[in-house]
Amino acid sequence: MFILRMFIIYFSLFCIVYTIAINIFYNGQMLISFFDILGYMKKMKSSDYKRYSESKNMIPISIIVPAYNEEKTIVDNIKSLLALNYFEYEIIIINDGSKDSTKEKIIKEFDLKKVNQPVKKSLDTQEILGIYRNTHYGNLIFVDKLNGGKADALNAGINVSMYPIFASIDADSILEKDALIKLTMLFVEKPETVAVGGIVRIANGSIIKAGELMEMNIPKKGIAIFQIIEYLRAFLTGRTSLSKLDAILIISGAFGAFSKKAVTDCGGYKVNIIGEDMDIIVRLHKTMKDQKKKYKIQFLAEPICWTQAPESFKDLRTQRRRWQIGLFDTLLTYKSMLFNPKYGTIGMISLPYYWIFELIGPVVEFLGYIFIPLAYLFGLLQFDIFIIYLIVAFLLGCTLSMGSILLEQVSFCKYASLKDTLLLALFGVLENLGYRQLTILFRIEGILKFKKLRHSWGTIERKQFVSGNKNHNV
Amino acid sequence: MNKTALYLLFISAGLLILYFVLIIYVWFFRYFSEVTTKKVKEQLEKIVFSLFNTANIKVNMLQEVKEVQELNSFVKNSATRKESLINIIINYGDDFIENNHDLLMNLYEVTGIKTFLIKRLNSKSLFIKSLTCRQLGALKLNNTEAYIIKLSACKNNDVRYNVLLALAKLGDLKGLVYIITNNSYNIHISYRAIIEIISAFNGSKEELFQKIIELSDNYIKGISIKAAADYKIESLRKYYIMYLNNDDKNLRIACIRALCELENSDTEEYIINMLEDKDWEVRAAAAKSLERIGTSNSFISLAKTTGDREWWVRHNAACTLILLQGGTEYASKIIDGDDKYAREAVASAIETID
Repeated sequence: MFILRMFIIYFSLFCIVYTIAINIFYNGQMLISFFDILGYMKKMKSSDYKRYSESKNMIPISIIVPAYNEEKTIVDNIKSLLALNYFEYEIIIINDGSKDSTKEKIIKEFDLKKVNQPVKKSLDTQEILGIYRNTHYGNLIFVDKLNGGKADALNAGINVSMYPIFASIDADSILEKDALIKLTMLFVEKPETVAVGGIVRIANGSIIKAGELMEMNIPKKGIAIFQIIEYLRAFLTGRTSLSKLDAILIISGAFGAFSKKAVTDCGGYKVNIIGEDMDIIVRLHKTMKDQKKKYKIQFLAEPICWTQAPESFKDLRTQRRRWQIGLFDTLLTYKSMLFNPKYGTIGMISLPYYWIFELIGPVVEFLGYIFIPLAYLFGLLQFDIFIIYLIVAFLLGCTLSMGSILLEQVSFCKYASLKDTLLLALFGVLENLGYRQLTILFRIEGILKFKKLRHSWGTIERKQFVSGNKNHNV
Repeated sequence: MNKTALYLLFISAGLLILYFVLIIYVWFFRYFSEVTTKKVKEQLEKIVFSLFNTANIKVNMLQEVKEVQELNSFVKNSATRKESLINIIINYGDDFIENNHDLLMNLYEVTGIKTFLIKRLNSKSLFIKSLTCRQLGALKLNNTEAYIIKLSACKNNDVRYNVLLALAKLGDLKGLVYIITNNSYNIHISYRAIIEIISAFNGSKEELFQKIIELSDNYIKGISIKAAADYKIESLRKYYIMYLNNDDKNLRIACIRALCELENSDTEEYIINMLEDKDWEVRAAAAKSLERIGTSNSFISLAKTTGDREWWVRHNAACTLILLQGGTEYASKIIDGDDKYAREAVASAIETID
């Protein structure tokens, strides 16, 4: 009994110290991000990117879009890519053995015909069944292949591509017109760049017509609004600060640009895993540092990719579980880099951060919700102190959300109206009254079911983008 | 434990309230800033429009013009308003600035814009230095080159890029050539950026290319020849031929492409020889380039190249062969031949081009 009581006391103390530590770290990240974003916005005033968007001198790029059962969004996605503000690029849509009518819709919409295009096989992939094109859409290539997963589809796209840089875009995403040029400018400004990531924002509730974002609105469903807050925290605070420290470990699979040579040199995307976006970045870091090459991997908070967030708890659970499994898988694969000074900020800051706060964090938080009340019930904690710590945990959570919203206001201010701003602030508070705790449970589920679901993507319901047309189905 | 808990409570509550208050403050600050900026911009645009639509303005008596006096008193002591005026003029475009050059030069002096920008070049902020260089170039502000060149030693890429771009737009041949040729290892901006800078040069491109090619190392030679290709300058032909045998493969590739842009069939023989180059990238570039200037004289060499050990070389050779007049008939012999790789390259080229 004594041992149990001591364990409860010390573990509760540990949870409190852990909460303080994680919040100091996150607030530190917010401060770094604040200065970095301000610096970026000043820099963009003198940036020459508009000149390059019309210049034939600009690096040509291959946009690779893996598609699996994306019949609802793929046509809009392709239309948005065809309208991009960029001089020379090709769009490679990879149909990864879809079971729905993804292939038929694309072929019909763009009147594509099968061609005998040679493919340079730099990376091993599942068999390509056919390549389809239409001279009217000279830069559109549709590749039909046997199912092999997202990573396999990306590798097939790399084989088909002919340009030195490629961008990987999700099939349910829409790029802003200038997003690609802003992203790829980094390859011009800093020739040692091997990968750049852009920000992913939630399109739910916004009006998208013919692949272009016409009107930006806050979603009607609370679950989507909570995700806006989460994305602001993750991207504006988390990734921006890690990028500034040259310690970024993940570029979103929904929107990232890569040097084709760097990726093929490190073996391409690893197949049969679900965290391929994080895996490729960590592998790039490892390969470049092992070879002692000068390189840059960066995240930019301005080039935007609009995507759909899950609007049901079932889909949210599938997504968060998958993300946690992908994280766990990558961290285990590259555990030799952990606390290894050879890998600089990656080994000494980034990987420990992900292990301690992102992987184990949900477990500690969950146990904290159990042990601190237990400490009170065992008479080890006074009631008023117990309540104060509960309130502190709640307030610290709200503070991070509020800080991210402030960062958004100070920088890009996409949610311009006072009403939208206050609504986000309200949801930033409400998030900590159940939603956050639920996502923690999903993440713990991911850890517990790691072995069973390691190679499983699960399915998430796609919805067509809202076009503003009353007769349009949503 | 009590004290710690209370401290944590005050800190967390304090932070939350602070962030929320800042969110509201920032919103209102942004709103009123935008309203003010919009008003200033509208007022400035009105005065500038009126000024440039006034007939018979004497450039050397600009101070006496009513609109200029109005402009002067409006922007006099305000850096923000000067910035607004600068942006309005830049937004009128290059043609407007070129057509009203003399009037604008005087306007910059009278309104203090020139002094303002020169002072900003000495700012400690790299962003301001960078932005100021951009503005000086865009406004085509003469006699500021000496001040801009002083920044060429700055290690920041953005500053360096904008220094070079400004000198290019101001047509400072000496300054641009000096920085590019003397400092290539320290420039550290990509070759595409250098090409953009060269293409922005407001002066004799022929003279610029000649000077850079003669004075620079292989890396910059290659970049300038690559940039020169688009301008089809016949007088540079001797340099392209000269450097076809250089050790630097990128330089050889640039020369091949530049020669083909001249569209002179006399150079076909030189390019055909490059199909035997030791580097596959050069062979691929030569095969591709013959598409522009190739004749039946290239058939034998291209046919041989369709059996190259490198995929891209085979692919380019096959495509070029198909595209040349009479090439398809010649290529059909390859399909009946023994070389499996050549057959594959030609067959897929025929189908792709069809």
